Amino acid sequence: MNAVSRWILFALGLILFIGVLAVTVKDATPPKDVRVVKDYKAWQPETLEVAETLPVQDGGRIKPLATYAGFTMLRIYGARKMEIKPSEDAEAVTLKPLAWLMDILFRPQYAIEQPSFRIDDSAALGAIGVTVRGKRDRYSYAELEPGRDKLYELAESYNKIPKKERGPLERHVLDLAENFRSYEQLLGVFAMARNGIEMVPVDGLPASGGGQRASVSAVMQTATVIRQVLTEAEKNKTAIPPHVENLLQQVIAGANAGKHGMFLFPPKEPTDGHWLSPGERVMNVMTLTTRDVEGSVKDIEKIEEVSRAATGDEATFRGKLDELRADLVARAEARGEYRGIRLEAEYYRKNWFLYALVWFLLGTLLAIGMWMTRGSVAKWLGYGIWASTAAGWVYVMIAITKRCIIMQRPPVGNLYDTIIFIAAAVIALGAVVEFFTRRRLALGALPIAGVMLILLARLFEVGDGSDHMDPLIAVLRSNFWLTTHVITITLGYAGGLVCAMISIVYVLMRSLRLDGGDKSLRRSMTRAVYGMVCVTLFLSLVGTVLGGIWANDSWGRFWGWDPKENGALMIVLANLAILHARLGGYIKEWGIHFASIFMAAIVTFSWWHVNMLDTGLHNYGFTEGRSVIMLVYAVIGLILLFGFIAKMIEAANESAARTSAGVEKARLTSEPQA
Amino acid sequence: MSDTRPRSIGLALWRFFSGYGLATSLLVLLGVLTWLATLEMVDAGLLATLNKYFHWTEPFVIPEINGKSLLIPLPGGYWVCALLLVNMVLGGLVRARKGWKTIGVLISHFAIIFMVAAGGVAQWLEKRGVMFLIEGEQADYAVSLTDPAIEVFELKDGKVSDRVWVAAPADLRGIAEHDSRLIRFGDLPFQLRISDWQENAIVRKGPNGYELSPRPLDPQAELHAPGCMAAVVPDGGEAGDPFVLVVPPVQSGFETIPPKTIEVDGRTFGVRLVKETIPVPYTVKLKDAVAEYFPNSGRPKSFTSDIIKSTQESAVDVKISMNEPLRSGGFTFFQRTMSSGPPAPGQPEFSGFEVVSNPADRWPEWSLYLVTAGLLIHFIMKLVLHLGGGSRKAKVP
Repeated sequence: MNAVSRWILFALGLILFIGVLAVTVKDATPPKDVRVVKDYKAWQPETLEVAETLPVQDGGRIKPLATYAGFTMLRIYGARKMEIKPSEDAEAVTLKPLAWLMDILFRPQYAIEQPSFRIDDSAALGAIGVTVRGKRDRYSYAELEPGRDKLYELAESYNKIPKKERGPLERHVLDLAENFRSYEQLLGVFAMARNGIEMVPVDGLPASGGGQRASVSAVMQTATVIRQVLTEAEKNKTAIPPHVENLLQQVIAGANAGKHGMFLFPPKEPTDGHWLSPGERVMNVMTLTTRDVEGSVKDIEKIEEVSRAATGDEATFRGKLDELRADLVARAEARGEYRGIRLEAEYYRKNWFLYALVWFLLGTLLAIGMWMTRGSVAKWLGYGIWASTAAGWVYVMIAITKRCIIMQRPPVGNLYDTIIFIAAAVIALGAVVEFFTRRRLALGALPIAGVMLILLARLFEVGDGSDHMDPLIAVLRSNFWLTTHVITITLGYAGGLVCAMISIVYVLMRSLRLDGGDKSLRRSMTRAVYGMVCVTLFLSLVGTVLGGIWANDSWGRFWGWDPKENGALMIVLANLAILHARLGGYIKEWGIHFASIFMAAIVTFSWWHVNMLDTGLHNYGFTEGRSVIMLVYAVIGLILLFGFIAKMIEAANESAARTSAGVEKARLTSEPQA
Repeated sequence: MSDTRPRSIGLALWRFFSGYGLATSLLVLLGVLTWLATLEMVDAGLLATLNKYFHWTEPFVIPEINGKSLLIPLPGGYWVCALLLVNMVLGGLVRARKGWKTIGVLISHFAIIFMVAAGGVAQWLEKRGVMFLIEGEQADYAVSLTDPAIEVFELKDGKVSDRVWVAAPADLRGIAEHDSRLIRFGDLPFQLRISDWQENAIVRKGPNGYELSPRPLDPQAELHAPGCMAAVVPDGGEAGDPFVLVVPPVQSGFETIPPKTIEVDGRTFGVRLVKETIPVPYTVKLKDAVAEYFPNSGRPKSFTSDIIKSTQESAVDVKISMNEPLRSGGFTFFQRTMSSGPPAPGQPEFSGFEVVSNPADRWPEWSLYLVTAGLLIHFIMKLVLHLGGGSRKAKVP
């Protein structure tokens, strides 16, 4: 039985490991569909290096262009890698976010052919009259462009439907319209600088021929003259000269196209926090609403030089881009807004969580090996698990620390932060449990928990597609409360998960008789869970009350029965119920472990499920992922059911053993002595 | 083995009410009620759910999920909490062993009882309203978000007298649609018979004059406009014709509608149904409302109101912002809402404060210090005992 159970467990572990590995590989591999983008030429690494730390304002903060590119690509394309090839026979080229964004900004002829739009439901394309391939596929801007007007028209009408009443088609159309608009705004950032303004011949003068073009910066320098012409036309009630009207129309259209895509230029006034886009620079000069005409013209001249250089030799382009970067960096530094940019670029380049995942996966493999072996081999594998888990944990901690330095706030401020923080906390708390029990049971579960949580973080990041380092909203901007309430309550979640983790190991081991009936081992694990229940109660209770005090200062009430508050209260009540039931003798070993496993469902409800209820002050307003939550509940339910059945079988066996022992005893006592 | 059977009914009751069994059951029940209420409030709204699950008038609850009844009656949350409080006092304080080993547990139980008491005090005595001010405006009262009240005032020569008689929210609470209730206003020579109470109503013109039509309940109870029919019952006389009283809908932009004028004993009175007025013991004048957003994003950065708090004796400048309320004179002012910019260039902005009077405002904070200390003492002692081997000799948990 023991050997069979071990093999069953080994098989389960291996399936889990392979499954996780498959998800990880899929996560890191670009979509298979490799499209041909004719004559595509990859950017040189040196060019990308220059562009990486170009500062831009987005989401209310200054961030490196690389970060901006990463999350924009994630949101529109749904991955951070794309493969294309210059011809049918050529090798595939991997585009990472920065290269992808650089194409949109400087080489739109390539960009519009790249399959940049992820479509999860082709019905949205059918609705806008675009030829559909499969249910899920990726499409290029050029393919979607014919349906552009219909897309915006539908989006406008669907926007009027209350959010809760929107169906999948409405949601997909709205998502696509938002992505399409973002993409067009990016295409428009340098469009005017690159193309210039077409000059129409002045009435009465001979046309020079050949469609002369003027640079936007040159037109900007004539803004006062143009204004005079307009004023005089208005004053004399005469028509605006056609060449001026045409020029103005082009400038306004170009400025509007480049108004929202990217906020590149730090303002002149140190007190003004609003960085300017190329379109705003142009518009402000043309409407005479800026005093910094000279600076505006210089900025536009610089981006004209860069944009035009993009069509020629890459080294020249790189030089111009570097000049622009140096100027913007110097201005951002003078305003004290370049802090952390290099660190952030490095943070995303290093991909700390991927390394952590690799270490945790190694630890998981070693854990499977440890459970399959005995004696000194198992002991040495245990050391290996300690080492690999510690290495993974260090990577997670480095990433968390760097995020704190970049964000200038405590580690937890949004849902993504909670996942990575809980990953670190679960491993730390689990290591403490292992330190006290020294049975190598919690130890084996630690890297598995690490793998699960890091994967969850990566999947959430991809699904959410938003930058989680962006500043927090007004009510959350309190480092004191973020440090006290948020961290305490998050540690409470971690504590609840560690309890459940140990109890799952307990139930599996006892049910499959892998513990060999070792009662001291069982007692040790029960004591560990009891201790963790106490720790969880302390953290959850203190965290919940701290949250109430914060709410009292922010919203004017200590307790508002908000779903998130209710979830925290449920964790507190569950822990109290476990402790009181145990003290009253209502639950023994099996009972405390069943209750502890059930607590994982309560933590899941509090941590994730309440965010999907779309109600309350804490709600994050997302509805995706319900099926995953239900799957988690189902797995917890199955483990509990498995445990109940095992407990009943064990009780029946013990009862049978007692009966047969009684019969044997009775037989022995009734037999006459020889 | 000792005989554990109770020797009398009193002892049995004592053991029951102070026992772990009751504590565990109540904790589980409270958890289940909280869970069901959380799910139900998605459709039913917060206030309606709270009234259903945690109001003292509800001894039993039949939960509904997605509009479908679960058909299982559960005890009302208020009574579960009340019983838990009794259990905590009897079991956690009176019956619990007193000694240095249990000092942490005793402190924790006391702290939680104190916290529950704070909730009780807040439920009974808390007043909560809003004060909306445009820059330059001042006020010395707030208006309740949800609680209705009937105001009666005398009209002399077309002018409103200083004294106002009020039927407070407590006088109106619990009137059902088909009930009627007589309400007396101090020494006035008449009573009002209130009937056809609607939590959310609108007045429409029907064939027989103005009629009250019910409107569906909104998940946000502060958007409700309660209404009712009222009839004057003069002392020793017959009831007059009923008339409509209604709070104007929030979206209408009116705080009140013109009062109904009635004549009794040759005196003229005005009657109106309003959201309760909460007087504040000082005047608040809004000097400046500043809403800041992170640049190039719609993400709110901070909301700050510069106000002058003045009484007859003094006037002081105060800044109210998110997480930094004003606490003074038994009232707390929280930054609730703010215009996202002037309606037109140069025009003033507005700021909305949530105004709360709660005698137990700071009790949860004090209780936090106690419960943290209690649990820390207890768990650290347990850990020390465990490390010292004390608990290893104990019975299997």
